[in-house]
Parts: sequence; structure tokens; C-alpha cells
Amino acid sequence: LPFRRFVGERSEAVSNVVEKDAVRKFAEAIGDPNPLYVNEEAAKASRYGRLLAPPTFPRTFEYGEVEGIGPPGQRLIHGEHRIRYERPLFVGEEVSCSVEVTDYYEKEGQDGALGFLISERVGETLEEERIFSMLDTAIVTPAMREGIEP
Amino acid sequence: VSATKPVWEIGDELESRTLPPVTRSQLEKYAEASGDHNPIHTTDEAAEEAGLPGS
Repeated sequence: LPFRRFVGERSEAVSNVVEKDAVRKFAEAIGDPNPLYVNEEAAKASRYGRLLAPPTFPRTFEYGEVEGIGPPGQRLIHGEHRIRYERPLFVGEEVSCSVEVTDYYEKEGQDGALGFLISERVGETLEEERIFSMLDTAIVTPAMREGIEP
Repeated sequence: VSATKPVWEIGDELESRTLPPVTRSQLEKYAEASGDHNPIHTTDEAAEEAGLPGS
């Protein structure tokens, strides 16, 4: 299983800013009308005191690349995302993001073995305070694997 | 709402809702907003090449 060699590898952290416009666009695209994402006044009056990002917004961040695995977006299908928050993610803050491959295994499917690539993505403040972690399963079909295996 | 009476009880369920079929324009909007430009979500050819039945 050639993908096993990536297990334990972590990307270099990448800095991301939670942009107000990006949050508005994202909230619109997922059809979530929660005013805490877009309305400054409503956000100020809330217990958080400022605008929040939607829970799945960390999908938009760059996490860097585990060396050799290639741009994952082009070859992998999302299987599962599980996000755990330590505290809300706020609009305007800077988040340091990285990804580590934590497991890889294969299961026999109808058209050959399907690969399951498990990664943990984390977002931290610049002071290394954890904001969220995301368990991420990507499915690798045999057709996709051809392009990546040595 | 008082502190002693929660809005939700354990075991409460929301009513189920049936949404209209997912449209291409929704997928395009999300791809744009999420920065996930994987063509398997928006073009049939790319989806088929990846061994998936349609986008």
C-alpha cells in the first residue's frame, strides 16, 4: 500500500485569514441565513460580540501539502469530515493551519480496492492556541490512484 | 426560557424536511465559495474519468 508511506507526515503550517467577504459568500452558498455570520450589529449584541464563521468554513483554508501526495483536491473524494471546536472561529482572525496524514487503508470495492486516506487538520492562533481540529476521510478510487502511485 | 426548562429535551427530534433536488448552480456556488475546484463536482466528464457516475 504505497500511500502508507505518508502516514505520520505533517505539512508546513500555512497562515489563513478569516475574511469577512469569504464568510458572507460561504454562508450564502450553503444557504445558512444565520445573522451572526454577516450582520455586525446582531453579532455585537450576541454573547460572542463579533462575527463568527460557519462551522464548516475551515474547509476553505489552505493547510499546506504533505510532501509527495500532490494537490489532494484534484484526485480525492471527500468521505467524511468531523470538526471539533475548542472555541468559535471569528471573522478577521488569523489562523495557522496544517494537516497530518494519520492513517491509510484499503477495502475491496466493486471495481477494485478503494483507498481511505485519513488526515487530521488543525487550526491554531499565532500563539498556538488550538481553535479546531478536523478529522478528514478522503476516498481514493483505483482510477485516481493510478496518477499518484510511483 | 428559564434555566430550569431547556428548549430541547434528550430524544427530541426535528421534523423532517424534503428539499428540492441539488442543482448544478448550487454546486458551482459552493465550489466557488469553498475554493474546492475539483472538477468531479461540476463536470460529468471529470466525474466519469474518476470512476463516478455523473457530477
